[in-house]
Amino acid sequence: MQAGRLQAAYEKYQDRADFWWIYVAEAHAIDDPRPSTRVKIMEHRSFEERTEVATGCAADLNLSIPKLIDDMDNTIAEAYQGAPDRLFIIGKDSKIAYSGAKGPRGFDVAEMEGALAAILEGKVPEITRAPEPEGRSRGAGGGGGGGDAAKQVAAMDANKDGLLTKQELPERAQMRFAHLDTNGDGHLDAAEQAAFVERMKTRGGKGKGKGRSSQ
Amino acid sequence: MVSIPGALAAAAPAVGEPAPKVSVKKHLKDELVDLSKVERPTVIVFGSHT
Repeated sequence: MQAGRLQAAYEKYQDRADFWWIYVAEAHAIDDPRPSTRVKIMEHRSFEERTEVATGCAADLNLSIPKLIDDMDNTIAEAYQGAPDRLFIIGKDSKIAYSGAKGPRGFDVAEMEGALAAILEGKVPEITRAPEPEGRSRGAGGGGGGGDAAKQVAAMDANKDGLLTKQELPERAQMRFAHLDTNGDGHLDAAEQAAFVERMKTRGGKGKGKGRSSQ
Repeated sequence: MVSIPGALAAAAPAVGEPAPKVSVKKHLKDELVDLSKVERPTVIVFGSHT
């Protein structure tokens, strides 16, 4: 969830904007077909349990953004299509001013921050986001080259949930998983996949030079 | 703001639409927050621990 960047954005803008972290149903509970490898949490069976898990999560992630707890009907997550994670900004006219792409691939704190800065200056945010089919990521590098590497990384996502686990990576990449998983949460999120793409692009160029005789 | 239909879920509220009429309970408090009426820009972050 890019907790560090979120916390930094909160600390930077909390005097001029309200922030709410809405705790929703677990995306990868241990009773889920694809449980998280880092955090072992059962899907919440009650609102009280969800509240307790949210408390532990905030402490674990060092996130001090005020929390709201979605009800057990997942009412607000449904209203916003907010699960598993997603960012929005409501303007002071109570209209949606920024609507982030669906996470985890589309969860982009930097994009939200840019939009918030514009909104606070009374400007309309300029979001340049490549249109893609629902559920797919936008270009990892923001366009311009690297398309093959980005496609290769996207193709590794066997279950199309937007996250890459160690098991989904090719064997050679699995050996670098700990390095790629910079926040140590057991999977590669959008930002980590983007870094992976960049790494592949760099290594791909070197590989061609080594493997084939250059003139 | 550019509208990007392909990047959004079918039912996600789009830019310019009124914020959905939903009230959500504050963590550890018996108090509801009405997110359809805000007084200043409000960032909402959906997420969980996993």
